[in-house]
Amino acid sequence: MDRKSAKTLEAAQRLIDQRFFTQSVHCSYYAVLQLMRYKLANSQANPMTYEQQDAQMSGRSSHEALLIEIKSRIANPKNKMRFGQDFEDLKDKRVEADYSQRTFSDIDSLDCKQQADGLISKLNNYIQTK
Amino acid sequence: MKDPKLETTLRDWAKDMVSRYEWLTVRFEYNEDRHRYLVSYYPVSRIDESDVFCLEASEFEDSINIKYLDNAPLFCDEERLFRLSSRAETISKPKWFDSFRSLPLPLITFIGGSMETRIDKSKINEYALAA
Repeated sequence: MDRKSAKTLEAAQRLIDQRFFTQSVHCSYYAVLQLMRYKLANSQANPMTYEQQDAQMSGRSSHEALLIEIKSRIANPKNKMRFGQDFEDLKDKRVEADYSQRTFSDIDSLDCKQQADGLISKLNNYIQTK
Repeated sequence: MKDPKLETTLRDWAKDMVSRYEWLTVRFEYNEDRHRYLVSYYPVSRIDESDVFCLEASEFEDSINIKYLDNAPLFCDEERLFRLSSRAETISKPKWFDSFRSLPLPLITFIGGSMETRIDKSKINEYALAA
C-alpha cells in the first residue's frame, strides 16, 4: 500500500503536468489516505490489519474513523491536532474537485499536491512502522 | 448551507474554551465558497505551548467531523489554512478582563462582594488609588 500511495502521488503530479488540474486533486488526497491505511496496518504501536480496518471502518464516516485511528498514534498533541486539520482541509478540496462545479487552477492543484506531500512526510515522521 | 444548530455548538464550545484558556481567541464564520464554517484559533504562540488545549481542540474537531462529515467545519490556528473575513464572529475574553485582573486582590474581592470580610476597610482608598 505504501508503493500504491507513492504511485498515486506520482499520478497526481502527472495529471498536473498534463493540465488535468481538477482531476489531480483526487489523486493527491487518495495518496495520503492509502498511506494512512498502510501506516495503520504496519504501525509499531497497536497495528490494525487491512481486514480489521475494512470491518471497523465502513460507510460514509470511514475516512473520519481512519483519521481518528491515525491521530491516536501521533504522540505529540500539537502534531496530532494539526495533522487532522491539514487532512480535513485536503479532504474538503477533494470533495469539491470531485463533486462541485469548481475548476481547479494549476496553482490550486499544486497547492493540494504540496499539501499531500506534507501530510505524507508527517505520517512518515510521526508513525514508525515494523 | 448555514446550520444554526452547528453555529450554536461552535459558539458555545468557543465560549467554554475561552473561559478556561484566558489567552485564547476563536473566530469563525460561514464561507459561501467552501460551503463550510471556518474556525480559527489564536494566538499560535500560546497554542504551541499548550498540549492540553491541543488535545481538547483535537477531540472536539474529531467529534464534529464524525457528526457532520462533509459539512463539518474546517479548523486551524491563525488562519494557517484559510482566511476569515472581517465579518467573522470573534470570541475572546472581554477587554475589561485584563484591567480587572490587574486590580489588587482585596479590591477585586470587594467588587465581587463575596469576600468583604477579608478586606481591610481602612485601606480601600489606598487600593482605589493604586488601581
